[in-house]
Amino acid sequence: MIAFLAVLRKEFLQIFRDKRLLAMLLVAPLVQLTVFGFAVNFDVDKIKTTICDLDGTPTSRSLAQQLTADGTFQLIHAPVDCTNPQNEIRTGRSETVVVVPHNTTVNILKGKATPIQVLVDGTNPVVGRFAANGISGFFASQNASQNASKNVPNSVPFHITLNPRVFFNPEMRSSIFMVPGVAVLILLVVTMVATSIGLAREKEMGTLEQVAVTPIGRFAFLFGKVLPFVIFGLVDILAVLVLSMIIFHVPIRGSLILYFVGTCFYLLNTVGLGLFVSTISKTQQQALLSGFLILMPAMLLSGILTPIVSMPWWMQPITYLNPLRYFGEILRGVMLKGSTFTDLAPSFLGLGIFGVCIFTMATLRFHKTST
Amino acid sequence: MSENPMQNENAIHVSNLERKFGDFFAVRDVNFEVRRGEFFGYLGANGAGKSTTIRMLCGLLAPTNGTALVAGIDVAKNPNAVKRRIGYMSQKFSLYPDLPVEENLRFFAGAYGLSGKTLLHKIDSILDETGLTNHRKTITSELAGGWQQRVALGNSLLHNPEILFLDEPTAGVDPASRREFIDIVKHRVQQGATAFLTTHYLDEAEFCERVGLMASGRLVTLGSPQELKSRHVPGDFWILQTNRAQQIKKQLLNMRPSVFSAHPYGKGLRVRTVSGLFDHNSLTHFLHSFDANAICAKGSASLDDVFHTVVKEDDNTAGEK
Repeated sequence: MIAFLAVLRKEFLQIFRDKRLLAMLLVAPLVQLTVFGFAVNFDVDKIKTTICDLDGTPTSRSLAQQLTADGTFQLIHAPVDCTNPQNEIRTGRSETVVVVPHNTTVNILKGKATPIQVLVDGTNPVVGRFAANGISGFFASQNASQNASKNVPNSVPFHITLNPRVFFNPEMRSSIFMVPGVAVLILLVVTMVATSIGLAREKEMGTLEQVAVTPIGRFAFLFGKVLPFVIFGLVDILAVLVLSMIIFHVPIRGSLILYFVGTCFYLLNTVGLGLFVSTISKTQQQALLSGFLILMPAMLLSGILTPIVSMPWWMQPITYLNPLRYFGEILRGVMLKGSTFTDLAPSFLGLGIFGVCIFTMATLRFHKTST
Repeated sequence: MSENPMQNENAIHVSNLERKFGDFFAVRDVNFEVRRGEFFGYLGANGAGKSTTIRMLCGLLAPTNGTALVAGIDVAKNPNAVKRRIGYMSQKFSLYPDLPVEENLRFFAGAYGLSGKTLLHKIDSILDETGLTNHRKTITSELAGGWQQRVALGNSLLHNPEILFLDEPTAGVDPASRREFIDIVKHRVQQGATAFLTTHYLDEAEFCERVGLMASGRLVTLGSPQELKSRHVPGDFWILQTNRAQQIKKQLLNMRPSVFSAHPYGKGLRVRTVSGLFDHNSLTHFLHSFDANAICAKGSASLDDVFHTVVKEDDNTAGEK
């Protein structure tokens, strides 16, 4: 215990003397959270739109007006060459072009099918899909209202109207979805890298050998080295909580106890990974590089940035070996859905098992490498 | 203390100690003992196996073969019991450079289980012993090299170890600082500690009670500095001052095997002959037949001579194998 406290004291002294490390532990996470929260935005708005109204009747003009009324589609005000609408897309002036052909009004009045051409730029699939859905949705509702107003008795197609209701994030704001995910990534980067570099530095400097010749136990030493980073991790997650409420208006629907307990479970994993990285590295530089080798796949296979169900089938089981997956589920569950412990028990179990395993393995390996 | 049953035992007892790295023998069949309270020197070229030996004795490295008893305890079987009774100063810099001197001592004192008032008193006494009291708040990396080595020494003395292992502690330190450093160690030895010192500085080895010399992983010779000199470089040493060194050297070497060696020494020569071959008069007479102004004086053997001779013999035998 005495030895453990000695390590703890020394560790905190070193951290508080190292201004850069301190900045990395406390300032960087908050800056990153803010930047990510604002920059990673999948919300689609103000799609640049051109309407080639070849019909030129009051009906067709009002169609165009209604399409652009809510601001999702924004008309670009430029002379348009409607003989070659693809050019609009190729040059990037428009993201979508709607061509209303001649005789549209006449056809509508006659009750004949009227083809309307819609060109969409699919370079950014998010925008592309959104534009395509938005426009076809618009014309579907136009059809429906036309049918209704004309009271055509034998028009069946639009009896069923979709009335979608979105849960937990009714406005579908991506920051609400992203902020918990980014918190998962930031905690990993900060605590894993700081832990692995801290130990690799002792190796590189030769101080580890001096420690090895004292009777200090392996666990006392490692716990003393790791605990400060766990504490900084908890400070960070508290700051994340405050920041997400104030800046991003992320709702906190679940229990704060679950939020912090989940974080503790997760930090066991991240410092465990940090320890593991330091056992396979001889220098700080190696530790940093190895850390990044773990970071990338851990991020991509976590379900935080992309849904797990859209990964290839053989890749999906791998995500069960990823602590980020579990903590992502816990944070999003607690913050956005108000999930209870019972809902999240599998994630807690996964996180706990993985954490104990990686930490134990790293500690045992650490012993081997120091003698 | 006089009832201590260990008192008559050796501080270190090494038998058939070996360490292989792959196919390479870093240490091969080493046997020696160090008595309690002895100041023991361990010499050898770079890569001769000194550090490997010392790391095995401190429990940092497991031997491939053989046993090492330190303070009567088998290091391989019970390294932790040994660690409480030894102090170790590694060849590498082993302090936290970003912490003040005091905090370095405090951390290692805690690692040895000291706390509270005992710890504070101990740190004060170590700072006093190593002359660092005025530097206690200095950031360690801002100290000069010699002073940093004293902090490292202080670290290894915190728990009053019975045996001190010092692995090239004074490498790269100026002569005055080296002397002061060794004096601190000597003081501990006078108080009953045992010191095991590896060094490249042969003047440091001179005041060791006994010296072991390693070459290519083997302990090739062992004894007091005086014993080593008479064993490996017997005979008389002469220092000659002359302007005709080349010619005289040639004449002297013609008298082999009565003359062992003649090497340039300043502008003159340093010569080793069979014991009693010359006295002052006869040598002066001999020299004057070549150079009327030549002067000679009696010299003495040094551990340098021992080192060169032994390492050369080792190279020769290695070549014959």
